[in-house]
Amino acid sequence: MNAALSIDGLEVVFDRFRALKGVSLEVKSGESFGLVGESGSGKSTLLRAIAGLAPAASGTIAVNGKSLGARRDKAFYREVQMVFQDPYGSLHPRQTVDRLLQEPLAIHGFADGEKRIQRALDEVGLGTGFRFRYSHQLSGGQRQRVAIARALILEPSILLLDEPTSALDASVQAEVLNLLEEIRRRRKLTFLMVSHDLAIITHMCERLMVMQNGEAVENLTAAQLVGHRATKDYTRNLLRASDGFVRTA
Amino acid sequence: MSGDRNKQRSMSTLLDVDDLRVTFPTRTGLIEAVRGVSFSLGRERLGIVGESGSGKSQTGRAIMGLTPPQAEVTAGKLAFDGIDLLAASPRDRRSLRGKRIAMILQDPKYSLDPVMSIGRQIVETLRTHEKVGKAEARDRALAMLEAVQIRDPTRVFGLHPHEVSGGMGQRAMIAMMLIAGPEMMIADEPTSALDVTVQLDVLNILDKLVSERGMGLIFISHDLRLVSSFCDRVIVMYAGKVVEQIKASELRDAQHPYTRGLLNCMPRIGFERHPLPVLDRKPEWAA
Repeated sequence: MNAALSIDGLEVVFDRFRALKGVSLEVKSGESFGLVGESGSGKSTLLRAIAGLAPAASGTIAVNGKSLGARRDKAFYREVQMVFQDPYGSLHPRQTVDRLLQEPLAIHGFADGEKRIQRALDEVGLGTGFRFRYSHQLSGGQRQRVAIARALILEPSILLLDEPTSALDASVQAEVLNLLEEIRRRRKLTFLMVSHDLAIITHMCERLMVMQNGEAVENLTAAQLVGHRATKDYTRNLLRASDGFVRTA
Repeated sequence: MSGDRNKQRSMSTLLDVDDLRVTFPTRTGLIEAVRGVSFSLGRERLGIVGESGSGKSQTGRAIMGLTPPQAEVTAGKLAFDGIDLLAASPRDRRSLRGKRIAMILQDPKYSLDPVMSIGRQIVETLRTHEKVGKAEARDRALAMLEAVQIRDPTRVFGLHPHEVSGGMGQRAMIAMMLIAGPEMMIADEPTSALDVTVQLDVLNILDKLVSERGMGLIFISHDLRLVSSFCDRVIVMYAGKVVEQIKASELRDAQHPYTRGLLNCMPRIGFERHPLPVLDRKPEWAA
């Protein structure tokens, strides 16, 4: 078994606040792994720490068997890319889609930009008609497709997805989730996906970790969760809550 | 029995909306955000569901009288308890707002006054609408905070909004909205900014207070499933129009393809579907 991502005893501290308290995790290559928890549980911080956006106080992160230092090099970002929650905030407002997609190519010195942009846009279901538009001319779902295209353009093997659909309408969410699944299948990608929505995680992921207050509560397979075989009360509570409102008469 | 009484009271219509339209002027012409919405509300829980841009929030705001000044609101009828809201003076509407019609907004972070303590905000609401002394107002505010299940009301009374969690802030907002004893409440995505477990706590409180006080509730949300588990009746909006009105218990038999699509496209625990069914939007839905 080869691990695409292995994290051991990861701590993230902001001032004196311990956002992550020694979290360990292993994601196999080609697997889709989910992180669930309420706000403040540290699930996004874990993702950001992997991407190098949150400082790791201690612990190790290894990508494809290679241990990461404090700084991420270019090679790392060719392997690992991230899609953020808010498509309204994660695209440059004054750059066209074309320019947005060229940026990572320029940084990494790819010569065949034209072909790659064409391909990335096709892959996320946006025709070339979208290429010279600004992000404010796009809907939320289209913007998230652009963000996914930007993540894919370097052909990474791991995608970090931070609530990729929570800012979208339900019907658009279904389209984006379908797109992500299809891309994963086609490119044999590894997903690490954060969501507060258990239904989305069980739909998208094979295994998941439930988090609370910066700690792992438990590790489960999606099948165990669906079969109500969670062992911790916290997980059961989350599961019950996602069933919707029940009137207590 | 209280059940009988509730039934009787629900017969009386609290709000009557007929052919409500909200139009915004833009550089490229007029945009109709709400295009002829009609419904009536008794002392019941009514859900208004739709996706972004469906006009659900603008409908709520028009009833409340919070439509931006540049927009135009017209209606065949927009009456609250017999009062013609469109003919009422701004002053009259202001006295209705907060006193007889209250509104809960989505995110307590933005809708509470950041520089005023929670207690003072609640007291302010009460004293705007009723002639009560300071001490009595304080007591009533504390009692209200307790009614929304805040464990230590005296402490929370003195806190500022940034010092409390989202769930607590939303409870404080409910307390503020209920203190003047409104007959109708409009809740615009009251729990969307909250965690799932907190969401249910807040809904429970809202549910209890609404049914105890016999209020009419309009619950605006994008979450069809949540709304149907909470409300008696659901209005589904699409592109500024009502496409379907249905009893929440009969949602399973919804007729309109949009309603069915909306129900269908969400992933559900225990129902594996790959890929998820997607909505095939038909231009005639918006016609």
